Amino acid sequence: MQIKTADFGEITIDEASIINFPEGIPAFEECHEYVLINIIEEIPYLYYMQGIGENAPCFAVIDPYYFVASYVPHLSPADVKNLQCSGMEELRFLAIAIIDQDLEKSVMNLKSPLVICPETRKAKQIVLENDDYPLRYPLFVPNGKEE
Amino acid sequence: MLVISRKIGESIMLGDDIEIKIAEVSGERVKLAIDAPREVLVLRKELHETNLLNQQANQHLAMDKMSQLAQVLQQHKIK
Repeated sequence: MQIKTADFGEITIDEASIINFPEGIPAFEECHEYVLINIIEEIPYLYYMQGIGENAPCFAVIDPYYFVASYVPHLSPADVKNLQCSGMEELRFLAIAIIDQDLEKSVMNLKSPLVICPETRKAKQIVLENDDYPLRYPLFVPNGKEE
Repeated sequence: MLVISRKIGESIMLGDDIEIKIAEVSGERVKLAIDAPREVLVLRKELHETNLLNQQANQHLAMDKMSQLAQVLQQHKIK
């Protein structure tokens, strides 16, 4: 199936790879279907998440575990009931990124990750119970002060 | 900022038609019962912030911007 992307024209996608957000995502409730596109092979943890449809939204999303290996999202079973996943341990998490003009100031949202069930391909953006994950977590530590 | 002390079962009014009642208190959690007209959007603050952040994140990133990001990511290639 052919879809229009915001940034690189039309691309062909496998229909089986579509992710369905039954409730949309906050601020974009009308768009339910998205595809994840890994743009740069060497960076397997960075994707475009392109909505399907006219003027559909498009986000840069990131696998948070690459940056925060200790990420432990706390969710209630009620939050993920509609994803119809066989177990909480099956769930996959991705963080929406905000790429700043000054790239090093880019952040990702660890407080409300996209929660995806790989078997049913249903997903939802969920505000976590955790108090310690910020909405704007810097991707890069300033001045190269990384441990 | 206005700070008001209320007991369980008591309410405050915002204007004439929005009522926020303290429904239940247990430990650190407070349950609020909100009575507001249908057109008033009531959101937990985190969800409201997520909403704003999503709007900001819906950016159209040209391929060269993504490649630049990829480069920076690789330079920072952690641990």
